[in-house]
Amino acid sequence: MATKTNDYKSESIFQRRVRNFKKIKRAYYSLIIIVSLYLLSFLAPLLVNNKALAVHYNGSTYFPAIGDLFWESIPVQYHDASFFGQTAQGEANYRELKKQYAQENKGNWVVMPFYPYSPNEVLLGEVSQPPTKPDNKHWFGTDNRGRDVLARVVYGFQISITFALLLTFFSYLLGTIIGACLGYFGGKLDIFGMRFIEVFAFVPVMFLIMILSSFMKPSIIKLVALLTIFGGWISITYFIRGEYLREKSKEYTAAAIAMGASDFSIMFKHILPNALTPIITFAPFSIISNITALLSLDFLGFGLRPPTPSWGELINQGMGEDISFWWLIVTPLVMMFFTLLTITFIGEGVRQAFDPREYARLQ
Amino acid sequence: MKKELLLQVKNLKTYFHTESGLVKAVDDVSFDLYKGETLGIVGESGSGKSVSCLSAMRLIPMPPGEIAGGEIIYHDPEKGPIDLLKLSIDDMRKYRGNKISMIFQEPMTSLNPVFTCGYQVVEVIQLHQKVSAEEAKQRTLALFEEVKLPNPQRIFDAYPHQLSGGQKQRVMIAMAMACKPSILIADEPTTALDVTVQKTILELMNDLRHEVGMSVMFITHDLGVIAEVADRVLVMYKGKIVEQGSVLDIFNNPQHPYTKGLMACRPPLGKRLSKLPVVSDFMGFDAQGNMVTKINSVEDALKAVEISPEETSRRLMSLEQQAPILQVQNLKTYFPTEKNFFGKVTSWVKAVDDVSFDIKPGETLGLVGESGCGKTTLGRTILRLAPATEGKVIYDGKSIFDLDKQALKAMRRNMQIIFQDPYSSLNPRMTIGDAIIEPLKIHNILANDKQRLEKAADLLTTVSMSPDHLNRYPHEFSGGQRQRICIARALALEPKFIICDESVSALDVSVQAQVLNLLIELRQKYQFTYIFISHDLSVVKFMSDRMVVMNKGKIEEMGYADDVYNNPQQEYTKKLIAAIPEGRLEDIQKRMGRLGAGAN
Repeated sequence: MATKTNDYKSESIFQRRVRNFKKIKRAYYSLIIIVSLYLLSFLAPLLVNNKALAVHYNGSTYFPAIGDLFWESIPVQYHDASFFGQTAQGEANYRELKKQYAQENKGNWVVMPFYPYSPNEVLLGEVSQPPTKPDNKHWFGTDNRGRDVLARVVYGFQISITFALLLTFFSYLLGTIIGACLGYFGGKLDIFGMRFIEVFAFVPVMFLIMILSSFMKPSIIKLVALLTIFGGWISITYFIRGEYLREKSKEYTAAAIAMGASDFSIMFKHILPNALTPIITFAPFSIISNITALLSLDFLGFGLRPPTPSWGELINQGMGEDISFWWLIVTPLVMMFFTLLTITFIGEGVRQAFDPREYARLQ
Repeated sequence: MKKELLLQVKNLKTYFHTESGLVKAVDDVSFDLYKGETLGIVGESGSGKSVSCLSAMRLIPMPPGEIAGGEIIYHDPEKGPIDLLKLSIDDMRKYRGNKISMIFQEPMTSLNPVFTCGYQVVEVIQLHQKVSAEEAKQRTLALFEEVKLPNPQRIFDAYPHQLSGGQKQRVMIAMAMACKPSILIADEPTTALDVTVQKTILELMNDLRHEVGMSVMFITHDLGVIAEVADRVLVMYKGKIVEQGSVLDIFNNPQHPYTKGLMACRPPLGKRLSKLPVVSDFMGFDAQGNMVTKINSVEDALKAVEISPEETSRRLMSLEQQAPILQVQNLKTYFPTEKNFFGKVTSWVKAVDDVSFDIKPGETLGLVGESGCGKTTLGRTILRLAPATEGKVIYDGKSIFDLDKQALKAMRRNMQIIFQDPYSSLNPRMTIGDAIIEPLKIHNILANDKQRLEKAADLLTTVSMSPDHLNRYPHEFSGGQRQRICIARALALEPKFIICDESVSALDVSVQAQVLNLLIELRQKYQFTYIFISHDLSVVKFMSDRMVVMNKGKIEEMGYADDVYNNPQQEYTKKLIAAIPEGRLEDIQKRMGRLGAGAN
């Protein structure tokens, strides 16, 4: 029907959907923004940190901040205050060091990151009576222990997204495997499996996590594991099982059996790519709900162990008898609002691009 | 008969804006519809026949569709001529279902499954006419009576899934007739039905038309059906009308090579052919894209490929002398329908009920019967794609049901199946190349994927497709092309035995002929043994050496294809044969004569 030119390029359904997605500008740019912000957040130790990027002292140059990159996977360069000629105890205070070197004028110098405060650095020596209001030094003020709010919010962003991505990934993995087995093999496995899931779905996840976390001291891995096992995978299982029930009756499955393909190859090579559409469309919304889950747990104090920088914990601090510490609430809320908005835009676009439903209607 | 103009389509242009550019589905089409006549519109899929009628109802999804120009003038007996394209949507609704109504191809999906059949007809009546609910019900029952539904009261209260396909199509017709429309558009109304049911529906439509005096636009890809119903015929090709005239003229003396191709490509019942003539035998395109006529007459084309009866009996003799390659012994496949409290099955559907036959190497056995007769289940049971309840299938001395997993996998190399639906039998996420090399990978044939892809390219050439299609995806091909790809995939393992399960039923007649020719060609080349399953007796007869007629899970009749056709023993077989629309000139003359007598 259609006239095809010679440079006609073949594309898979997935490629076509990606192309459709790119056409939806709002979603596409949202994706670019959130991905680049997330990637940028891994460089946060070079942008928001109280350690110096570079210190030149007595003819040699040191790079203390590098060590914080990638969760300190690069060997930490810890320098005592006395190492750089400071009089104080403990780790060097590079902001002070910079002032000191400038005064001494001996050819030593310090390059500080763009925003020279760390999320867990207690600034009791510098601020009086925390929490303090936003000023030109601490753009979004400090919290009740005298830690810089901006630094905490930036690191909190990375932790929130990482947590949500991990949780989504593992829920999807578990849900897909279980759903695929139930849907493909059917029969007794399906009947008993589904009954078990229905009972399991009634476990009150949040309460359970609160009880467990009161004596477990949850880390990000533990929390992801708990939430995966007790919640995330169930809805994915329903989706995938339904898709498998439908796809396994299609003739391409019969064709694969007739050519002698194994169950494993039919389940994961043939059917799986055809069964993914609903859960791909669901993924951005799943990430959103995971971000909010972490936020609520942190808010209630059952989330990640302090002093992990977290949005929920900041809001909790701000919710005193009155809201005179408004910056503790507004800053993380605004951050969360923009994160969730961007991801919602992405979700909308993904749904439009992946859902082959006709949006025009007959009149 | 005085001809009174009812609908004029003038220079209609309907375009679709698709991802691959502008598609001119209907390109400057003009035709007239007169009062009381049946206008047959024929052409292959994509020729624009449906779109031109849907444009008249303004049922084109916009976007991507667009009626880019033209007029559709309806001559309202009260208000005079009206251009339907210029009406507002609200005004258009008064015409839809009321003056112009429509029946669709799929009775399964065009009735709403959550309402009773009666309610759906009552709704249409009440939508367009101010009558009480009771009166609407009485009218509905009368309509059901009129479309010859058995027990109208029961059908009135029945839900669509409780009816057979033919009954549903009758309900659809009743619904379309509810407001005594002056035009009825029938879009392939019998394509999804068995031939026997098709025959009764066509008779019904002919009767109703004479009683009510409405005009019918009948859309189909099958000239045989046209011969049974139409007064005048439009032949459409690539969005344009290539030929129009009275049904007698068209069948007597077709002018356009495309029409000739359509007429010749239906498998004829009387003769035995070595291959079917196809449209491309009659017409082609030169380098400039102009049409070239090749063969001029349908008779010449048929004569060139006819096989003499002596040749046929020689082939049958030589097949007969061999030991059978496949034996089916007392095969039963039952599906449980009811179980008691303890899970014991209390009631069965006997899909295949005690069937025995055997096939010689190189032979083609045709399996024919109406839908639900168990022919597909039989094919699948033989391949162990459906569980057998009892009986034996012996292939090459080995009992297939007793094979363990490894032996079964090895056995699958020899036995392949080609399915009915070319749209669902290819995995939409795999490229054609991956799909074809997959069986080779599973059975570890050839050393690496590079060699396998070379073999896949060869296979594509074998099924007359271009080898550079290897990297494309199924959705980029038409139905006929996909069926070729499925055949290539089945050939990859170099099987000896192939089951074709309604492999051409989803295709247009013109494409069907091409695929049938390919299957015959492959049989000659590789000495395949086929089981050819179809509901269409003419196709089965064309393909097979022997024919098995199935009914309700049992074998009704079995014998040489020509014998079964020429000398059917069972009533059921006779009924099947009588239902085939053959498109014979005498039949049309008889029908038109009857019509003329009726008019006088």
